[in-house]
Amino acid sequence: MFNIKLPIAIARNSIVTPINQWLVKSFVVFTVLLTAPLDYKFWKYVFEDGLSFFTLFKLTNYVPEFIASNTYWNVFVLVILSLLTGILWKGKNINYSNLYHWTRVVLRYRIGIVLVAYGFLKLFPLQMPFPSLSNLHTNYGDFYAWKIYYHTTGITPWYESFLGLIEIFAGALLFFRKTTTLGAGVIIGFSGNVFAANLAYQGGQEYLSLLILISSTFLFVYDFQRLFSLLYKFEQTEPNKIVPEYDVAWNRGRLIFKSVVGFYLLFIGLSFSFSWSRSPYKYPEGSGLEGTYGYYNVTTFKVNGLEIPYSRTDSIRWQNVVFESWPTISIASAKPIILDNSVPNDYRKYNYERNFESAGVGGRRYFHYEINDTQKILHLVNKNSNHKDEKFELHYEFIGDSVINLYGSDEQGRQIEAVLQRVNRKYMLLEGRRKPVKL
Amino acid sequence: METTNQYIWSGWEKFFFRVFFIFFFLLIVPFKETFYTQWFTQTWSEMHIRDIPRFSGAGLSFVKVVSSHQEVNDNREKHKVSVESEESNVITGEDAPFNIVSYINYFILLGIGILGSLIWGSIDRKRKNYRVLLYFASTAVSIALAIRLQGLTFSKVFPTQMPDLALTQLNTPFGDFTAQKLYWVQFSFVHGYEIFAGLAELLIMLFLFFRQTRALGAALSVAMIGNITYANHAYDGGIHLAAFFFTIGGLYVLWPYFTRIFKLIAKEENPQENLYYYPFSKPWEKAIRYGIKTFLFLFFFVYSGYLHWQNYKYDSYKVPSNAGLTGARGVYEVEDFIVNGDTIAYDPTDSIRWRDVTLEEWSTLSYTVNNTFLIHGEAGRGKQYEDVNRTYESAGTGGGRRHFFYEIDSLNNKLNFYSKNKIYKEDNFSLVYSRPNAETIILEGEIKSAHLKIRLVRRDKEYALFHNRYSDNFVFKP
Repeated sequence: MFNIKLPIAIARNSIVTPINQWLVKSFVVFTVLLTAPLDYKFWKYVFEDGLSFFTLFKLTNYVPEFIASNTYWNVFVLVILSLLTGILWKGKNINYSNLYHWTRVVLRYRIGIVLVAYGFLKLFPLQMPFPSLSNLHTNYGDFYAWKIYYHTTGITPWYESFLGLIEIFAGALLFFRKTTTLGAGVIIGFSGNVFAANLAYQGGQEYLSLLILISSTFLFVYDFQRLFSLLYKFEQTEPNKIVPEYDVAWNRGRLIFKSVVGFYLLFIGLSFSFSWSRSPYKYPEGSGLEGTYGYYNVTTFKVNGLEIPYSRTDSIRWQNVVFESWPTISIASAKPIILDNSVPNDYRKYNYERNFESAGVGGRRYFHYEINDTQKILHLVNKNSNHKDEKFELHYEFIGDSVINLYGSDEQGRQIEAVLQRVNRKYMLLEGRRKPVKL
Repeated sequence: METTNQYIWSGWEKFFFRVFFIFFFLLIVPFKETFYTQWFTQTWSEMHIRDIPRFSGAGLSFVKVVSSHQEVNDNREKHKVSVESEESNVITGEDAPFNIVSYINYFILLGIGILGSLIWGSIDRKRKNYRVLLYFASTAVSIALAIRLQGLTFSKVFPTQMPDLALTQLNTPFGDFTAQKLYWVQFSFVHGYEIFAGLAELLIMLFLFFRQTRALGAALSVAMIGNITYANHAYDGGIHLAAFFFTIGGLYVLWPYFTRIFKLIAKEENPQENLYYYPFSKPWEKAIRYGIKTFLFLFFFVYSGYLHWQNYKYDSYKVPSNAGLTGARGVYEVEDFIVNGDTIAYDPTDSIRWRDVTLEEWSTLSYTVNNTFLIHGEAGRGKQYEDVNRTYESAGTGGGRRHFFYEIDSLNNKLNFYSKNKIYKEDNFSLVYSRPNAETIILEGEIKSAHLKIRLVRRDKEYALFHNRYSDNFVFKP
């Protein structure tokens, strides 16, 4: 079937039983399927937002999709497919030990790379950024489960960085043959927990985490007998004697390969550190309207000239407004919202498309806005794809430093007038519990 | 039969062995007389899960580290240290209970260990190795870890450690929770995950308990509970000291195994020195060994599991046990709010008018007003007897929300309200209630010498948190 000439690193074949030979062949198919990006949908995904620093990261996310869209049952299809192909693959004079060795190398690097990449995403807390002010003003029960999980980690950037360091360390252990089993052990624990959490909170990464879990188990298996004999049976155990030997040319090749991987990951890491220090890519970049950041009560609200008093049930009347430090406004009202079901993980070029703040959360409607400085107009567009027709054109006027007057029209041509009064308040989350707080 | 004297340890190996032998000895062997007498004086019929930790022992402790703010000290009855206490062994400070100062007892024990090791070493010069003692020390620590884990484990397997969210919590804005609270409640709506974590901890207990799996148990203990230790620092959770014990205990048990694993797997060398296991070959040795292990297993695995299951079924310890008004659970709109005859319309800036009233399955009522209150900083942990002290639902949140435990006086149609915020212990009041229909409750009475009449109408409210984002196409309604 495959007649690729593999370089000989292990001269003597010691895998002789038919079952073991079948398992090695299946293992090869498994590794090839999850490493070689044969799915055209993947390439569409990688380039869908053009080229950016994030493209390199996206490359690490390849998962083969046999059944619809990213469900983790794909893993079982993958395993069964590998086993079946292993049976069909008839080979003569195959040096299985050598084949097994090289396949392990490929799988090690495949898994190690994706772990280090995600590790960097946590080390510079980008994967789970600190919740936005609008999200702080949303009731706990109005979030989807995944968002609560993300935010609960996002509020402790140091903890997230710590997790990232562990991921990087464990992934890096896979780049060296002798520390692979130790790294695999750590990864089994780590990704086992990630998989369980994704199942519980519907996080969207069930497939990738299960794939990593199974792959690291396959890598761990190499030393399982030895560890079992040492720890469970307390017998004198022989260490591994099958050591690959490389000639000079290959040793140079290995060094070059390891360096390329190193630079690739370093570049990803550096680009993440820039993104984090400038503006976390999941939130819009740039500044909002100057001096507006904060939470505002809407004291007066008029529609077509008619004043509507404070109301919990009126679907048009604004209850309160949050201005973020970037160009987003969120408005609380009684109007029903079809929740954004997505889990935004990827980099998006345009602020309007950066919907991490508005996905998975109810209670408020989130508007991206553009500022027209000369005419003092804000153009608002709803960021929720289910409500993208909602728009406002509002003139803004500052009265003192705590009142903003907004007046203009909505997408249905109604005349809206709102007077916003800034509310200075403390947040329990930011005050902490070490001292008595009054709020 | 091997002679233990064929192995010669280096001077440093012997020194460090002695240090940590003393250190862990003082940490796991109980020195209080009551630990030994309680087995005979305990009324076993009244045993509750809050009593079990007494039986797994606690280490020597010299210094108490408490917050200089009385309210922040967690509400465990036995911990009642007054901030004004003049005892010399009490350190008070705002940050002290949360940072490295809180580890002072560990440092003191380490100091004793080092001193003791020097003295011991000078007496015991001829010793070649401590293989036998290491076995017993490692085993003892392993067993101590296993039996002390029971509380964390079974209260997750039977999900009482993080019970279902109260309605008041679901209706509190995210920014009004402390980090500590958020760390805890993130498990409340995913009981499957909570049980999974509990089972993982149960696995650690079992692995530590049995010789063949001890290394794995120790490794998992370091990984899982080391993570919890770090997290407790990140979230100001408050139980980092207890979690730290499992981390260092796990490291202590793991270390001899780890050096051998590293040598075999990473360095691909023959590990020279076998780990020593006491053979327990004589019949009386076997009897003691199996006797002790069976007893510990029955008490800390089976009995503890049973008590925790009981607690889960009948009186989940963080959840108040008294039932609220029948069928009244829900979130209510305040339709009418009349103070001394004047109706106050809905106004989010009013400092007296209630809004977002929730009534729980149990007898708690909560509401929000636009006012600031001194927050009671306790974490809402512990196993309290009285409902009014079960503050898991109210502790750690702010933002103008008030919580009241109420007693139902059905003879006079009255509800007696008691503030759950301990700073405002005097804020108690009574109101007459009437229920014209299933969705309406009218409360009337005097609060702080103002006559109030409040009409509550239940809202139909669905929470996104419990919905499946893949299939439900959830629509938010306030």
